[in-house]
Amino acid sequence: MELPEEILIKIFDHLSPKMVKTCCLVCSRWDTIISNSRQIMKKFQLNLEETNSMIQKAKQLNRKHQIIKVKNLNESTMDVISMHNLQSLQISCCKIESTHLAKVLSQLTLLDVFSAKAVAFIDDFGIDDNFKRAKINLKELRIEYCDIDIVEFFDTETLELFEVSSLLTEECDSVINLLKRQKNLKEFGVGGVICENFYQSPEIYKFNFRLKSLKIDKASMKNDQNDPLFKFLLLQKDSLISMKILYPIETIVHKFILENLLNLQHLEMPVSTLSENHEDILNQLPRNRHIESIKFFGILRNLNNAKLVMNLFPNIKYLDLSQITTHVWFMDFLYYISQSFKNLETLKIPNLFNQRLHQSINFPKLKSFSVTKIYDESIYNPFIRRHSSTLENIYIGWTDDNFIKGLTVDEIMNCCNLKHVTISSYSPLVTRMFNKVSSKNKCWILESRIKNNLDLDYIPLIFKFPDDKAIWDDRCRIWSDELIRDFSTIDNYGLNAFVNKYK
Amino acid sequence: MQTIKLQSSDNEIFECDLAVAKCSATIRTMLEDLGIDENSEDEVVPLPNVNSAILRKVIQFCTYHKDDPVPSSTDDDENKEKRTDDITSWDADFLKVDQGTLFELILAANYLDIRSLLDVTCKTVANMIKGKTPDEIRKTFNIKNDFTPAEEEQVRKENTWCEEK
Repeated sequence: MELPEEILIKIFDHLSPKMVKTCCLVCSRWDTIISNSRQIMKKFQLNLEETNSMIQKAKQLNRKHQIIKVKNLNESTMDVISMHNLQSLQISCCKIESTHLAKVLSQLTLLDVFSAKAVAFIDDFGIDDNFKRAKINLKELRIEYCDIDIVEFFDTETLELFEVSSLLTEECDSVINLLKRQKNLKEFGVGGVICENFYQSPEIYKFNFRLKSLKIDKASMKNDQNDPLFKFLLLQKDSLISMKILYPIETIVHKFILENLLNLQHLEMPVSTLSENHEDILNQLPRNRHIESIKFFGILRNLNNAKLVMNLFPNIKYLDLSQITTHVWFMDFLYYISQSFKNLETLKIPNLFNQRLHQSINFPKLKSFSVTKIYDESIYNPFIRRHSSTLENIYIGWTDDNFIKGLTVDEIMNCCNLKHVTISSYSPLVTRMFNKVSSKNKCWILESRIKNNLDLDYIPLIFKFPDDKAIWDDRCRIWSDELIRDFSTIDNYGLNAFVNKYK
Repeated sequence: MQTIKLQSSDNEIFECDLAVAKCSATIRTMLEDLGIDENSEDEVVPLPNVNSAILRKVIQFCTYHKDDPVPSSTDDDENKEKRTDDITSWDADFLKVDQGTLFELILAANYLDIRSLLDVTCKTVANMIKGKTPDEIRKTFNIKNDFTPAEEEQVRKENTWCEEK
């Protein structure tokens, strides 16, 4: 019995991109259905960042790609692009003619996502009577470090996400004009040298959209209720739940954010300038009791100031310190956090080198623990043991067989509520982890990134262990079959043991 | 409790709860739009695309799931990873059937527009594909390899251009 096309598409949609490729080889009908399905082809992208000869070959492709990444927009890449009915186009690192871009955009009527990174025009771009903006119902637009004139190409009112940054020009009129037309914008980010002009424009507090998420770069404002940035943030204050600050901002902006953005739940910010402040200033800053989730990056100047910065956010549950530059007093800082922030559920820390996680560092509600690198397991094992009853999630960014002798694997396995483990390493360690996890038969997800001995790319693997015994047996066989295939393409190093076990 | 009569393609009549029958969007629309009187005793809803064996299974599925909450978000949530390992053990047992029956259940779920049944049956087929080679997939579904070597080479070439997102 043959299943109809619409049903097959539903089925293929449940498969990984890798398995979809396998399905293409089954028969011509399946291949045709996949090749022409917008829904399925969204799982793939066509990368035209290659040489010219590759691009010539790409002209012979049958599949209708939805997502294309291209490095240089010229006659040949434009030919390839026009053969597909694109949903997403990403251009990067090139100098192009503005007329080329205009021509391409005028053809892509179904485009949802457009992104340009480090793209400059080689010709003089000018808007005259003949210039027509592309009428596209774009949802996402990213213009990063580009000729800002690219913004002028879009006659669109449907943006939900808009990120723009420029290194070349301080002019921001085109950006503001585009923003003035938006009603549905939820996420906005601005960066680079246009910031200064942008923050001073009297237009920015008249926009019609209300943002959920905002990313800002260098920001300054006058201590004045008429300051445009001040008024812009006030306009967005009810809807904003997430904010990211890219570059150290003035203390006055910090003060404003803490005082006024009361619906903010998540904040990412550099702490360098804030922690440079005099103690008195930090003490005078208001506390924000709503923010539950914080990511700090940069340098915390000294322990006392680090503590004062933490105190600004008394109710946090999620703390990401993974991109903080650590100091000798980092352990004292963690100790302070463990004493003062008992509700912390997620803690992310950078590699600790030789510092010990002192035994009095304890978080009674810690569910999720993440460390960027482990070079000495003895630092972490007692910590994991102390939290074995609460931990549900462990993330190890990178480690190596020389540093984890199996003790850590045992410690992790003893966490009775653990549901999700992520570990990146060479395959023998992941194999050991897999064997331990599979012998437990709990509801588990083990995510691994394996690096093989040839130093090829990481291979991401995800194992899931549902608690239903019957299904679990079947699944293991399926996963291992997939693994054999994954590894047969490169190298079987270290995997024979567990591949054989489930063969 | 209010009941309704459904007639299969082979003319067998099934009497089932109205709430159960309304799991099917198709039947719901028929009742609403075509003005079939829910209260009429002898009104029978004809389902010419579903035979009695399959209809029996469908009613069994809908009876078990009739009180399930309706999934709130749209099923076309593209960014969400589609999982196939969340089939409950009752559903897994229910779907331990031969392939012909499984496919007929899919077609019936599609025709009757019962989203939960369509979803779980498609997932089951996806799980049958997972981890197999093209040849194993052909054997599983009894599909003939109609590629010439040159065509197969072209498909492989196209695959190398498909970068996984």
